[in-house]
Amino acid sequence: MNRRDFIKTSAASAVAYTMGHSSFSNASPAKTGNVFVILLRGGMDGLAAVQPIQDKTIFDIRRTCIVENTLPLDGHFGLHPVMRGFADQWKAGNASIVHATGFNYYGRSHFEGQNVMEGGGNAPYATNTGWLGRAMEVSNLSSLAITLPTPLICKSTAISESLYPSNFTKPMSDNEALLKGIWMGDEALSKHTKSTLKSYDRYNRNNSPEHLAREVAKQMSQVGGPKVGFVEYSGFDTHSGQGGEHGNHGRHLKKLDRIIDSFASYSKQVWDNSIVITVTEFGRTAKENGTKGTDHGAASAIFLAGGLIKSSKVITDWPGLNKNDLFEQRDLRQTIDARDVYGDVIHHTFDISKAKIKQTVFPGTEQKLNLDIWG
Amino acid sequence: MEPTADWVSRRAGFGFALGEAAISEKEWFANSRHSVKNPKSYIANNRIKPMLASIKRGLTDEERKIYSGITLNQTAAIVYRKQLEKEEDRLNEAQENLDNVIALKGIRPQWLAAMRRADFCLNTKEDFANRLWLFWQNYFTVSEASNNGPCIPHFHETIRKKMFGSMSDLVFNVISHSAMILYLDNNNSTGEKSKARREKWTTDGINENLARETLELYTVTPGHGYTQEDVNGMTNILTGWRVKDWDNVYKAEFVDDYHEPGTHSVLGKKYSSTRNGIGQLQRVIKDLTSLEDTANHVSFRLCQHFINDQPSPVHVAQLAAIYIDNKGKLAPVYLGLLDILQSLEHKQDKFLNPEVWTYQTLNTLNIAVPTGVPKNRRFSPKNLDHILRELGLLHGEALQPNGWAEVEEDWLSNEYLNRRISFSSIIGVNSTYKSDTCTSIKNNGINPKDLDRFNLSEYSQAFVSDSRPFQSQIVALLCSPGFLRS
Repeated sequence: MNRRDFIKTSAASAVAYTMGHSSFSNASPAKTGNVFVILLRGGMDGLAAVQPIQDKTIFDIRRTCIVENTLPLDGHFGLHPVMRGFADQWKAGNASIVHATGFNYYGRSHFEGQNVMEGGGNAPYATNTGWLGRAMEVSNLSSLAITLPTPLICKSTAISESLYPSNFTKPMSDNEALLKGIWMGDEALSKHTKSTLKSYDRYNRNNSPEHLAREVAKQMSQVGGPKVGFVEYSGFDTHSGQGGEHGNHGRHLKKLDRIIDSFASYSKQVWDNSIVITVTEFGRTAKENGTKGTDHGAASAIFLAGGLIKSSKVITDWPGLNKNDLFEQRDLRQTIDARDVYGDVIHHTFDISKAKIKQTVFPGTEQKLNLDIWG
Repeated sequence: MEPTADWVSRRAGFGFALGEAAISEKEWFANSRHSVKNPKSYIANNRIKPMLASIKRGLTDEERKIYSGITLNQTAAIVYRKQLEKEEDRLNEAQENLDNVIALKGIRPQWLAAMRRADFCLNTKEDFANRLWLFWQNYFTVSEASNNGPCIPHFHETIRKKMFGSMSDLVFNVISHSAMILYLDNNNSTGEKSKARREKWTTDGINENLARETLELYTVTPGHGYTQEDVNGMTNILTGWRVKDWDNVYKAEFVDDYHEPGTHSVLGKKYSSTRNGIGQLQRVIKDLTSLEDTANHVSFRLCQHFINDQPSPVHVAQLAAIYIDNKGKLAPVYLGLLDILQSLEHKQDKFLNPEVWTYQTLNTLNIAVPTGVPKNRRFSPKNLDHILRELGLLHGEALQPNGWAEVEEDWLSNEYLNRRISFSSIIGVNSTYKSDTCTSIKNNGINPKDLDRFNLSEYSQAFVSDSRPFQSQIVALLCSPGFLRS
C-alpha cells in the first residue's frame, strides 16, 4: 500500500461505517430513503419557532419573546420569519411540522432530556444505545455523523463513529502498518484500524454547520453513500435575552434554516428520496421568565422537510396555553409522542415494519401514528 | 503485579519527567500528602500565585525580572511574559465592552489560562494536586458565555484555593463566583417581591438555571428525587447574587435589593433570609453537601476520573464513607483515593482524556509548554490552547454545564485517535517540541529501565525503537496502548 492509499484509508476510518456488521455494505434495500437528522441541543422553543397565532393567550404570557412578522403556515400557526428556506419548502408541499410533541419526559433536566431524546427509552439512562443507531442496525444501513464525540443517538451495539473537520495537517509518514502492529491484541484500539471510509477532506477547516450539512449531502448523494446523515447544533438554551423576531433564539433558528437549505441544495440527486428531521430534548416554558427568556419546559416542535414529503401541514392536537392547560401551570403539554413521529418516519424511509420498530427501535411505544404526509 | 511509583504517578498525576532524579514511591506520596495537608504554604510558595496577583494589579519592574526566569525555555518565557502584559492591559480596560476589548487585542483569556494551567501542572511537582485541580475544573464546568471570559482564570484559581477545604465551602465559592453567576444566567435573577421589583428599577424576574444545576450537577443529583418546588426554593435563595461592580468583575456580590425576601424551602428544610441572605445560601449549601447522595456523587466522579470508567461500588462506598465521617472535608477523601490508587493492581484500565494525555506527553518527554503566538488568529500547532481544542478537551469550551466526558467511549474514536496521531507526528517534526529526551529516543530508543515511566510493554518498546523516521517513533510511543492509558 502506498502513501496515498493510506491517507485515503485512514481518512476513511472516520466517516462511513456499517451498523451492525463487520463489513461495509453498499447493498441497501431499494425502497430505502435518505434521512438527515439535525439534533438541536439546549431545548428549541417550539412556541417561538412555530408560534400559535390563533391561541391569543401567547400574547398575554410572553412579551419580549413574541415573534413579530411570522410567515404564514396554516392560519393557526406562524413560522419564525428567519426560516425562509423552510417556508419555500412548505410552499412546494415538501415540508411539515409536528407541534406540541415530546419524548414523554417532563423532568426539565438537559442531561436526562438529551439522554431520553437520543436513547429513545421510557426513562433517562434506560438504554446505552440510540434509537437512530438501532433503526440503522435492523435495516443494515450506514451513516455519517459529522459531530464530536459520537452522539448517543447514533450508537448501536456495533462500533459507531463520527468525524469533524480538523486543523491538524496529515501526518507525513505512513503509520498504518505501525499502528496495526502496535494495537494488535488491544481489543478497543484494534477495532479502529479497520477503515471503510470514502474520500473525505477531514482537513478542511470549515466547520460551520451549513458546511457540514453540505459535506453530509455530498457524501449521501454518492452511489453507495451513507443513507443516514447527522449534524448537531446547540445554543437554544435561551434562559435570558431570548428575543423575538431578532435576537438569540431567532439567530439559532436562522442557522437551522441554513442547515436545512444547505442540505437541500447539495443533495439534489437524492433530495426526492430524502427527509430532513429535527430533534430537540424539550421545549421551553410557555410563559416568559423574569430575565426576558424562557426556562426548560416540556413540548416542542419537530420540523420535517424533503422530497419524501408530499403535503405541507402542521400536525398537532393543540393542548392550549391557558394556565390550567399547561403542565404544572407552566409548560406546553405533549399531546403527540415524538417517538411515534420518528417511528413513522423510519417506517416510511427504512421500510421497517411498525412491529419491528415497537420491538427494537422504540420499545414501549404504540407506533399507531400515521403522519399522512407521504402522498 | 505490585504497583510501582511510576505507575502510580501516571494514575494520580502526569508521570515523572525523565530529567528529574527519581524519587521513591514513599517520598512521592509524602510530597503529595504534604501538598494536600498544607495547601496554603503550597500555594504561597508557588510562583503562580504572585503571578496571578500581579495580573490584577499590574507587573512591577522587579516582578518582570522574576518572571523572565520561569522554567520555560528563554524564548517561551519572553512570549509568555508578553502575554501576561497584554492581559494586564486588557484588564485595565475592562470597563469598556469586554467583547470589543477581546476582539481588539486578539487575545483570549482562555488562551492564556490554558498556558498557565499547563505551566502549573507541569512545572510544579505536586502532580496529584494538579490532577485534582483539573478534575474540579471539569466538575464545575464554566464555559465562556455572557461576558464571563475575563473571570474564568480567577474562577479556576478560586477552585484551586478551595478544593482542599470542605465541599460545602467549595460549592458556595464556586456558585457565587461571577464566572458561574454569569454562565448560568443568575446575574439578572430578581425576586418577584424584591425591592428592585417593588420600586420598579427592573422588570427582571427569577431565572432557575443555576439553581437547577446546583442540585443536579454539583450536589445531590436527580436520583435524590427533588421536585420543581425545591428548584424554586433554591432559585429564590440565589436571587440577588450578581456582578454589582463591572470594574471588579471577579467579584459577584449578594445584593439584598434584588433578593426574594422571606423563607424558602429546599428538600423539606426552611431557610430564612430575614437576618442575612449570604448566610441563607451558605446554610442550604451546607445541608445539601452533607447529604449521602452528594457524598456518593463526588466519590463516584473521583473514582471515575482516576480509576476506571465503571468504578467499583466498593471504592465509591469507601470514599463516600470518608466524606460522611469527615463532614464533607475533601482532603481526607483525596487521601482515601490515594490509598485506593496505591492498592490497585496495574491493569491500564483508564484511557486518558486528551488533556491528561497531552500533559503526560510534555512531561515524560521533557518538552516545554508550547506557547507559540498564532499569526492572524489562524490555527497554530505551536499553541497549547489550539492543540487542546483540536484534541478535544479545552476548559472553558465545553458545550454544556456537565463538562467533558470522563469515559473512554467518548475519547477512543477514530476521529480523536487520528488527531492524537497527527499531534504525535507534529512532535516528531516541529522544532518547538525538541527536547533532550526526544533526541535520546531518536538515537538510542527506549531505555529498558524507563518502560514503566512510559507505561510501555516490551512488545510496544520494540516498535518505538525500531520505527523510522523519528516521527513514526513518536507515534509508536504516544499512541501505544500503554501510553494512552494509565
